[in-house]
Amino acid sequence: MGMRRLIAAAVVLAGMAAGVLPLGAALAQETARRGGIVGYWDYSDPARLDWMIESALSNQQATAGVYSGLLQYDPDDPEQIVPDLATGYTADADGLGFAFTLRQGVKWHDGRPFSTADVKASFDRMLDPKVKSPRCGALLKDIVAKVQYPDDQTVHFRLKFPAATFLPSIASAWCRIAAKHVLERDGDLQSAKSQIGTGPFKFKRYERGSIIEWERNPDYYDPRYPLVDGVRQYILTAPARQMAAAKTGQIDLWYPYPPMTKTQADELRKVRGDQVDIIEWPVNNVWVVFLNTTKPPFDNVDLRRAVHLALDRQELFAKIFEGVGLPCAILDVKTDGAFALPPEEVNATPGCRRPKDQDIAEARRLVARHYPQGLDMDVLAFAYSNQTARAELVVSQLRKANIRGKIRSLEYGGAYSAIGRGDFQMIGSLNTANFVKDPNGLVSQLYISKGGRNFGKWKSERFDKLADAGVREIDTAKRIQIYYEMQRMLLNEDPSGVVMLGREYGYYFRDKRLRNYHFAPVMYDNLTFMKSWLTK
Amino acid sequence: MTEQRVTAAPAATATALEGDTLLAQAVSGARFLAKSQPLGVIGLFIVVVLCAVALFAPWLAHYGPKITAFDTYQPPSAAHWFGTDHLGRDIFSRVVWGARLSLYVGLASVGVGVTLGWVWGLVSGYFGGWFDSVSQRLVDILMGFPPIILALALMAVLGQSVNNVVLALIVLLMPTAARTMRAAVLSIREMTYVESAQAVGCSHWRVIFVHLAPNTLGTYIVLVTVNIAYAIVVEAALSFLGLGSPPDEPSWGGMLTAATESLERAPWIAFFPGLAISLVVFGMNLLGDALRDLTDAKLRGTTGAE
Amino acid sequence: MLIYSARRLLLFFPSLLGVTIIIFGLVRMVPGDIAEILAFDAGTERGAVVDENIRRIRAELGLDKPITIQYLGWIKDGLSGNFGFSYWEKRPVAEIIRERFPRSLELAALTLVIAVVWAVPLGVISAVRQNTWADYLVRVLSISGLSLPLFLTGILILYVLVRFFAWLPPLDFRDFTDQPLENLQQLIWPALAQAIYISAPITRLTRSQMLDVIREDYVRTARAKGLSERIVVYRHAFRNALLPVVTFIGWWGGRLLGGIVIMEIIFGVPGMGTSLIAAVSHRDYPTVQAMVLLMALVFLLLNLFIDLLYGLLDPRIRYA
Repeated sequence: MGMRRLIAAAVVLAGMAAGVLPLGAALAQETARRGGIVGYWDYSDPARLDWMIESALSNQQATAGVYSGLLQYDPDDPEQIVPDLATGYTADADGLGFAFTLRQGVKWHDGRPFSTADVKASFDRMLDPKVKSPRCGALLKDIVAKVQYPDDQTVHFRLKFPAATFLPSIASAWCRIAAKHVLERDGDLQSAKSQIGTGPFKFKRYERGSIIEWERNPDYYDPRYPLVDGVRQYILTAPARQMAAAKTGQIDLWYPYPPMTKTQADELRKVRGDQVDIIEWPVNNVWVVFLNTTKPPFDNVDLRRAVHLALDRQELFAKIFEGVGLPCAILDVKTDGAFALPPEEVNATPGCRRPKDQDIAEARRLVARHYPQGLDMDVLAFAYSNQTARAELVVSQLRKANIRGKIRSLEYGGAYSAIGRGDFQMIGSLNTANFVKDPNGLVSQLYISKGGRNFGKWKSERFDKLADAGVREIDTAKRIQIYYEMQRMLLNEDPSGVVMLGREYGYYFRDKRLRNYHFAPVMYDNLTFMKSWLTK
Repeated sequence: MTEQRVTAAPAATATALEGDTLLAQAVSGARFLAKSQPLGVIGLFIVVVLCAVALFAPWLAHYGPKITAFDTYQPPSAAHWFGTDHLGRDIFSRVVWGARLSLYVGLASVGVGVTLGWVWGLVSGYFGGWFDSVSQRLVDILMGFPPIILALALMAVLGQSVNNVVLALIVLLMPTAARTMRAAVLSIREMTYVESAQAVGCSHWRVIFVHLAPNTLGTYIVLVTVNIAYAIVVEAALSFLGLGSPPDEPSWGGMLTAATESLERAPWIAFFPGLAISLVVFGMNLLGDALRDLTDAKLRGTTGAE
Repeated sequence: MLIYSARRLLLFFPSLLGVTIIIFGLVRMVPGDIAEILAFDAGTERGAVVDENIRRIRAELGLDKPITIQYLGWIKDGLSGNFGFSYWEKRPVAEIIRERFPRSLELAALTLVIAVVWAVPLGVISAVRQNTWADYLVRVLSISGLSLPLFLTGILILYVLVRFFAWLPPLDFRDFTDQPLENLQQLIWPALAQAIYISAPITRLTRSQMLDVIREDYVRTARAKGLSERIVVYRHAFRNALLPVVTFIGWWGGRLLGGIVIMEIIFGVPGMGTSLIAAVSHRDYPTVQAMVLLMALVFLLLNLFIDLLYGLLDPRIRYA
């Protein structure tokens, strides 16, 4: 009940943000003011800044406002794709190609002119099979047949097959354009001095462990923007400091990760409730348990299924996220729209339905079939406090099904190298974000056999075929049915190497003085602050 | 002869240990202690109570330390004396079980680390010469590493488990103990009874363990009490850095670390394990101080703490 | 004196050599290396491409060579002042250290100053009024400081600043040379938290040194001469008690460089500790090696200095 009310509140607030409700409309009519500095924060030091070959959120946060792409998600309405460095595009008659017309007169931050050569250099690098481009490259390599540059105003992509994911990928924050002369000079974009873009802000300074600062680009191709003089991102790694910064009003925005918990939101409301808007928002992030399907016990579908059945998602969400979020959901109605299986269906499947007793009994039966004495196993956990707490709860619940996990917590480096070598039976808790506005983003990362985050190395020919069909299908209604089938397979048959716990929701705040900033459905896609402005 | 000043800078003005009186003092000490060291008696009381809690944990705790069956963030009540934590565990039970774990970490690491350091210091101080020189270089080397960083690196190498925390602490404690003990040995090595033992043809080992060792027992006991406190604090610091005992084990340091994120909403989650750590460290230090005052002037000012 | 100093100096080098061997070995024993981490951290695309990437990065960093060759190479480069290149941060380690070392040094120095300012007087009072309520109070207070886990002290200070003063030092870290006032606002709190913790042993040592000295002959003589108690305590006793206290503080200052890492994390000081922790978790060997070596070097040099100082002041030691 309380949750429904909160969701209702979130919808209202989201409506305001989108300028739908009268109050929102009133705000939109206010004339935008120029000047001021936006303050927000970054959960970790990116250290390495080359967004073409790195994948961390901190990396995108550090560089988002500095670069432009061919297309972008509209800062006024982050659901919509609008032109950026391309003024528009035309589709080929056979649906197998797109021609983008480039904007003229754009300048790099160092004053050099922007040209097709830069677009070519960028896509050549991101599509190079030898360059591991984990975001843009992963999105496009399988789809794009070739890229041509017929004249100095046009970029023409030919696709291997008609793909619904193509335009969302091109508009994604990970497929932006870097300067050819910088790539040639520095070899990569890792360091601060390589951050030369065409975006609304120039990269001003990076003080490791402390701050990343952008300043207004006076030569931005759209002279109306940006409205603020600069953006300062404080690097706040300790949770105590993040909250302290929010409570003392040193940051104007809490976004994107980690979101505030309900408790933190309540605390902030008490101190600064009159100065900030706090909303509940989907983080577009799944909370999962990984099972290593290449060795016992989880090479056996019965035991994967037992884990799936035994976990009480409602309790997990009640305790970890204080009741916020969508237990069990693989795709989310709010961010994935019609592709998400209806919650009523999801919540009626074994493992997700309540009461739990029947499913736990079934889980015990499955375990007993193979391990009459119960199953003892090793559970890898990341040594960050929120991940270890989550893993602790997962392990505690599994004991009811006679699965006795022993937590082995490893710090960052140890955990990744153990995962890389397949040296684990279960990863007790991890979160993975969808990085593109399409359901294929998540599916291609977590479930297909070559998925980058398919840490459990699950391999199902049937699923791979479905996923492939999901990318190739153009007809939305048919596509939806394909994604339904994938979700049903995971929920009712084989949970795969990824036991889905559900979709994380959380709380964000925006200072009332920060105007025209909209939370995006994909956390990477509206971090430029191009059209945001500050009241006095 | 020179390096003793590193840990035992106060040794520059050290007075000699007073022979065998020490054990006698310990025996007849209770009344004397109460009068001369009231703080020490308080410390002793705290330590004894905590040991009792650790010993009787299975009977004292209401629930198992890993049971997550309750609602989260409940304030202290009749059902949950210390409230429940962020995962719905009974904090009272966890603090009680935690006494066992924390005292185990403290006692095991100090028991092994300081004892090995003791033997090391005795042998090194007694023989002197090149053996002493080499072994003191080794002490230098180990002490050259910043302790928290060394512990962290060791935990990363060994992997997280309670026994590996103990192992890392042993590496930390041993060299400091060796150096302090060596200084103590140097001050009594030249005493007449040692010389006479050598004169009547006692073997080196007999001199070390029969004549020297008992006379450094006071120093040893002080080092043990003070370093148990230190070990518990370092364990907490390792937990804070994410490399202490495994997270679901009820270690006070780990509980406290997890609790700092809900300090405002549920201060009791932090309060009780915090209080437990403070009490045991406080008690051990009071006791150690008192023993120090009673025994060896050389040790004043030494502490495990960094 | 010359022979003593020469001998002491000669002993310094084997220690340093031992430190380098242990650092070098230890960081390589930690499971996983930077190549693996880089390959899997980025996340997507697996299999042959990743394996090839791992091999390429290892070759580029020389991690595929025998460990003895790697070690000798490191020592050789180190002797010529080259501390290597951080593959994680993509810049020379020397640059990182130049940026971070002064901050940690400043924080450590500030901590010591704060600790000494209250710990030494408290120790003196405690000794002069031995076994009175003042003595007990000082002892209980100083042990209380030791009893609070360090990170909790830090978090509590942060909490109090925010909750009761609605104030937080500026988030953008400033160097002392750049903005001294802002810098002090940022560093005073972590220094305070750490100082609460380390003042206990300083108080304790001052107290026991004072007690020893007060009982000595010349102090009795001074008293007998009818000098006022104040002059006896401060001119005679205190001065003589001071040397061991000072050396002890110096020794501790050396260890503090690594110990303040927790405060750096909580208060967001971009010092050497935070950098070192990050480097350990990224297996950034050159950075870890150079930073730990620097910390050990500071510690060993302070020891050397203290020993030489003692040799100078106390002739008996030279011949021992």
